[in-house]
Amino acid sequence: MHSFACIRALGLATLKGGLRDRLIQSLLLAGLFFLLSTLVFSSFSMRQPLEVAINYSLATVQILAILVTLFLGLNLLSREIETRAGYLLMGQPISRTVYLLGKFYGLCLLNFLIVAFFGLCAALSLPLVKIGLTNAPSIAWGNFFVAQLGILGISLLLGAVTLLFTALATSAVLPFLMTVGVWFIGQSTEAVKNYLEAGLTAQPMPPALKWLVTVAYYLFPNLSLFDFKVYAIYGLTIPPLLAGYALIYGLVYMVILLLLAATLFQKRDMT
Amino acid sequence: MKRLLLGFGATGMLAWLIASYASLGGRAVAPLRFPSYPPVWALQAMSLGNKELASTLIFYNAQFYFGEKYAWRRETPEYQRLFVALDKATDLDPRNMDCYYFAQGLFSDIKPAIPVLNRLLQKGMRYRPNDWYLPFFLSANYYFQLKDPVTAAHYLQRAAALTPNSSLFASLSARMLYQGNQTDAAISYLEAFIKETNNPGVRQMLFKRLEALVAIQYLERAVAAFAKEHGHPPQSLTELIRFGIIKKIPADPYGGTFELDATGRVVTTSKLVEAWKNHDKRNQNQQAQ
Repeated sequence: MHSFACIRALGLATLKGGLRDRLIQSLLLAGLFFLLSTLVFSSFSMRQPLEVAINYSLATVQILAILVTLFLGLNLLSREIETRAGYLLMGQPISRTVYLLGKFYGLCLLNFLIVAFFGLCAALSLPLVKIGLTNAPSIAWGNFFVAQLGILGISLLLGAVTLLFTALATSAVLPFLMTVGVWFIGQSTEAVKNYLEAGLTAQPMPPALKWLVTVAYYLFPNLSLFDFKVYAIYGLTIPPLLAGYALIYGLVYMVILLLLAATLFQKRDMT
Repeated sequence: MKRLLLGFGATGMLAWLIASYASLGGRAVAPLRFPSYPPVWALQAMSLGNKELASTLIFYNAQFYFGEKYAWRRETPEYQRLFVALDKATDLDPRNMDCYYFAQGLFSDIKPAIPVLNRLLQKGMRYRPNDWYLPFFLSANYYFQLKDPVTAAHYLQRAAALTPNSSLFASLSARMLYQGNQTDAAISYLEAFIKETNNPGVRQMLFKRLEALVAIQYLERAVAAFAKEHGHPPQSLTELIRFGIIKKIPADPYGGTFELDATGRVVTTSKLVEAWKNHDKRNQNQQAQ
């Protein structure tokens, strides 16, 4: 069987497994509930209910997409290797790299479906919020779409991180916890680095801490690069350079993570 | 059967507890304190890429706290903490209009808070340059609390430039400039504004204010000429006629009378405000027609 066909078949199997997963189904239901609550949440706003609705729905989609990535990584990748269920496949004439890439392809498909589904639900809820509002601004649908792509970028990068840790770790929970750590660090390094560089701290920061933050900033994926929510909320113009940079950064980072994961997985002792 | 009875009993108990909670009033309610939030960088880090949502949540918390503390418990809210929270919320999302609107509502009556409130609103203006509310709020704070009509007029001019139906702002800012001894600036501003106004009714209103300001400018120049000639300002405006500087005192289009106040400034008894009497007359005329 050709490698690409194997990746495709494995990806579709992962997608089906993901859709059958009870945990993912529960998350999807919870997500729908949260998106329905947009109407209630935005009604407390004094001056900008539509902006609050966009903000809330995009944040909900982002959190759900990341949670699905994390739990999918735990259930479909790490646990499969831990319980040796994947050994059946690896016994077939396919390389470990193809197995890993197939899993990642499935993760990408599922993430794409989830972001598209929630994005559509969010998009449907926004015109409902707009009913009855006088002088409500128009929704910047293009920016809303770009913000969804940014969310997809974050969840795919975290998916690649899960894959790397799965290739490294022997326990199923460890990659999950480590990916959560990368998510926390990746979302906050830019804010912390900017804060330290602005010199706003009451006490001078130890050089070691500054060095640590700088290392974390360059080593961990900068997930705030993919945050286009503010452009969607307030209808601001997205700088094309920033969007292009985020796209290239995301692709390059993902390729590096997949290469590392494939190399480590290849060398891993599975016995 | 036992389970059913237990279920009914527990449900009844719960209903009684819920019903009796309201009768407890404030006696069994824990004290309500507003939280002190961590620094902005920590809030941003903790929001995990959702700093706009974090900003909204802080605003909601402030709003609900104020509602419960002030309206329900009838206690004095912790205003300083509220301000710090709204300041942090606008650091997280400087475009969050809810925070500015709420802050103006809370603090515009507290005179010591006006300088910090104005700084908050100026932050909003940097990020929401097309929102007329912010310069309008600043104008009100400078005019009513800081008694600075000139700065108030400048902010009102900015508000007027941002709203399509801005004739009232234009007229008000011209009045503020006059009150700040800037009659020439007020006239120039109104003239420029009238040029861009097409609505005949609005133009009529603005022309009336312009007419009053031109009359004041005329009298101010006459007072200055008198002071230059005699070495002291006139005692009254009639002195200007007596010494031949002007032939007559112009009429105030608002129905008042021009005079000099204790500081020698030209003022009018109408204060450039449409009199209630005139409105009544107009209404009566309209009804008669």
